[in-house]
Amino acid sequence: MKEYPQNSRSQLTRRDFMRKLSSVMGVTAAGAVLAGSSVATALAYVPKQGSENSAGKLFNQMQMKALKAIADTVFPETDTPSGGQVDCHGLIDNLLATCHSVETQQNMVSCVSAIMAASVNGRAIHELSANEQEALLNKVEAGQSVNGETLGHFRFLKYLIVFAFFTSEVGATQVLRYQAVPGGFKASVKMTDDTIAWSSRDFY
Amino acid sequence: MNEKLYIEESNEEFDVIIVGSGVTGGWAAKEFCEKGFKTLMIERGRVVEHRKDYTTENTPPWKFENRTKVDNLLVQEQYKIQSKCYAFNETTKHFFGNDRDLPYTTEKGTDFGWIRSNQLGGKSLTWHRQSYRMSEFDFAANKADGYGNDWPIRYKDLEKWYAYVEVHAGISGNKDKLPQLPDSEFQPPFEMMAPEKDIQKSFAEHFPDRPMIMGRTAHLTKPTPKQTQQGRITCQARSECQKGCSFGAYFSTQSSTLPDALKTGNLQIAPNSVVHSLIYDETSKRVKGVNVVDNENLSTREYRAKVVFMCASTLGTTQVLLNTKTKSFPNGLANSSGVLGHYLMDHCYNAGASADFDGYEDEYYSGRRPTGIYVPNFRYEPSKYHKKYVRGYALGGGASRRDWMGQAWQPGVGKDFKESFKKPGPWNFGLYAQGEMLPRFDNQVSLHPTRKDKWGIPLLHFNVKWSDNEKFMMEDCAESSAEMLRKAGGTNINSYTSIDTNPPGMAIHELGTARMGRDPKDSVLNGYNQAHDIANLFIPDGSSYCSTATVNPSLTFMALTVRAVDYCVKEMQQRRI
Repeated sequence: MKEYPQNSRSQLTRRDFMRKLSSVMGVTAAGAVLAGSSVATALAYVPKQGSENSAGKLFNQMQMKALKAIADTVFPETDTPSGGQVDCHGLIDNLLATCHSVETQQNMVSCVSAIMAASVNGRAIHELSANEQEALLNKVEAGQSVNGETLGHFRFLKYLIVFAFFTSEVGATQVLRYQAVPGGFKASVKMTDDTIAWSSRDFY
Repeated sequence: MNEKLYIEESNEEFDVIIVGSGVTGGWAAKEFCEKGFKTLMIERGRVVEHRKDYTTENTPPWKFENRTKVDNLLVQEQYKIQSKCYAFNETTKHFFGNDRDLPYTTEKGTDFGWIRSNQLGGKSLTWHRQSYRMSEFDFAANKADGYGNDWPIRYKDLEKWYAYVEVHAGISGNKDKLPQLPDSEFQPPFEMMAPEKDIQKSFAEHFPDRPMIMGRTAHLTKPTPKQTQQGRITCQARSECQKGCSFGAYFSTQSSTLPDALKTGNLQIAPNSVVHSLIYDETSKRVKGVNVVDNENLSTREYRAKVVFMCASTLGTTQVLLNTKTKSFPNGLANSSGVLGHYLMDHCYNAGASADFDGYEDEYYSGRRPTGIYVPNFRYEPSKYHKKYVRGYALGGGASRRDWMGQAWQPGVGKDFKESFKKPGPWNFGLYAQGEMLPRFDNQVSLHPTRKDKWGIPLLHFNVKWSDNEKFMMEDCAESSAEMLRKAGGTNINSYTSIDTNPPGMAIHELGTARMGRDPKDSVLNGYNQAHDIANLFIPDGSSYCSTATVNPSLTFMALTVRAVDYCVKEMQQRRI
């Protein structure tokens, strides 16, 4: 298993915070708050390996392979995992099938199909080299190999990949920084070369 | 602690019944209980206990089934209207009403967004916590320009009650010394970010009538010993408030008023009790209690009391009154004036502008500020009105650096694109309208002639429209906001109006329909929120409003409520009630 950089600086502050919180709320209540809820957890989509090896709820198997390749191309593996490695494709398939309109579902399927059709030398996107994949998606985004409608759909598909990535635990905590309990608001924090953007938001 | 806090059947005659448990219901309960009155709080929804029932709190997005998004089928079938609220998502939806069970109708060619929050604590759990006093100008506005009836009270009447609720609730803000926005009893304000400070200076220079201040909000920034003793701590800047806050850092019934009411042993709560109508005695001309339908099994029961406080929210209260038809009040209880249901208002949040601000590249922030900046209404008296419309608007807003959700729409794929997310993007600053909506007789809510809900209560039928006054105001606001951003050095300025697509209701500040007034012939309530027609019936919630002003209403609800309780208690002691 590959090691990725972690945000580990929060342990001490967390302990201090627990102590303060417990003095006001009591230890059990404070612990329960910081642990988060188990209700949601039982239902959560769990990223898995190999989503692309079978049909999803919305995409067929070939489309799942293509979607994984698109996710890997938008966010390739660097010192942190790729889009496909955190199962963006599996999550997006689930998300579209559950939370989006039939129209959006169809738009995303036709977008993936159009990218598959814009093949290079008869090879589908997941069969291309990383450089070829990137070149293909750059052409898609420049509106060169697909029509305007597909371009609009691709922008939304890319948004879904970004959403799936930075709401995953890996994306939120290893690529960016996730603040569960910021401990207060500081309006001015000087940026350094090491400063990483926050992934945590008020609403997602 | 009261041993039998939650009740179902009761033969007791309580001193007071409070219908509703939100911002006003919680305050009424605290005040009556602390003064020694046996109090029954009636809530149509389920019990929500502080901390224990904040089931989604502090849970990151990857632990939700759909990363906080809601099942589309569920939205279509049960939350089509509620889902239009900015705060509605998988992490908060259990604090919103179910549209399937809570239908309403709208007049052809009109629309209204009715956001519901039916559980113990009501909207005090889901509100956005902005807290501003109304000013002398606000209370005088109807009289000054002739729209609507004159408020029977003035700022001076509420001033000490504002202070009273603020000290207990905890309001953070800065003493800005503005005539149009009186200062509260404050805890320290949240901080402004670097670009905000510069924009503040620019507004002061180019628009001296439009001071930009820090948004005042019901969050603890320096808890009092009393608040600490209640188990409340300083805001931790999660800004996930609508999930509920176990820190008790923001004001809610659960965090602030209910604990005090409970401590007295004088409070009982009847949850899952949908008030169908009030019981009225023609002989004594008094209300005697309420008729209730059980939320779950639809059985019926009564509760009785010497005094009834309606704190069921603007539309909830008016629906109950309209549905109480008696021999002397065939058109709804306490409606001898005929204005019950009329003059429904909301705020108009349908314009704004945003811009990028170059520079400040070494500036970032930590935590999520649960408030923004605020530009108080600068057209607060007739001499300052725009030539095309009356009244005015405040501006909310704030700065932030583009985060991953904004960056997602930037062009690019690959390593560099992925890398680009690690640094926060350019600064953006936005302003949006918080406009006053005029009180108009035609904007009415009434009972549907035939359709009823599952509890046998006639549906509310809405006939509400924006007027040209709001339209012109929003157009001006979009232009003015863009101009302010331009003068402040913004680039890529975008302005918008959304009044054609956003119906009234979506600011979730429904107000009016049982208005106060000096004259019983054109108002439902007197200056103490007491029904002109029925001495032991009080309505301190938003239905009592004569005009919306521009400020968020909840703080004024609180002040009106404690003042009404004070008056009611004195009247009871004098045996006039």
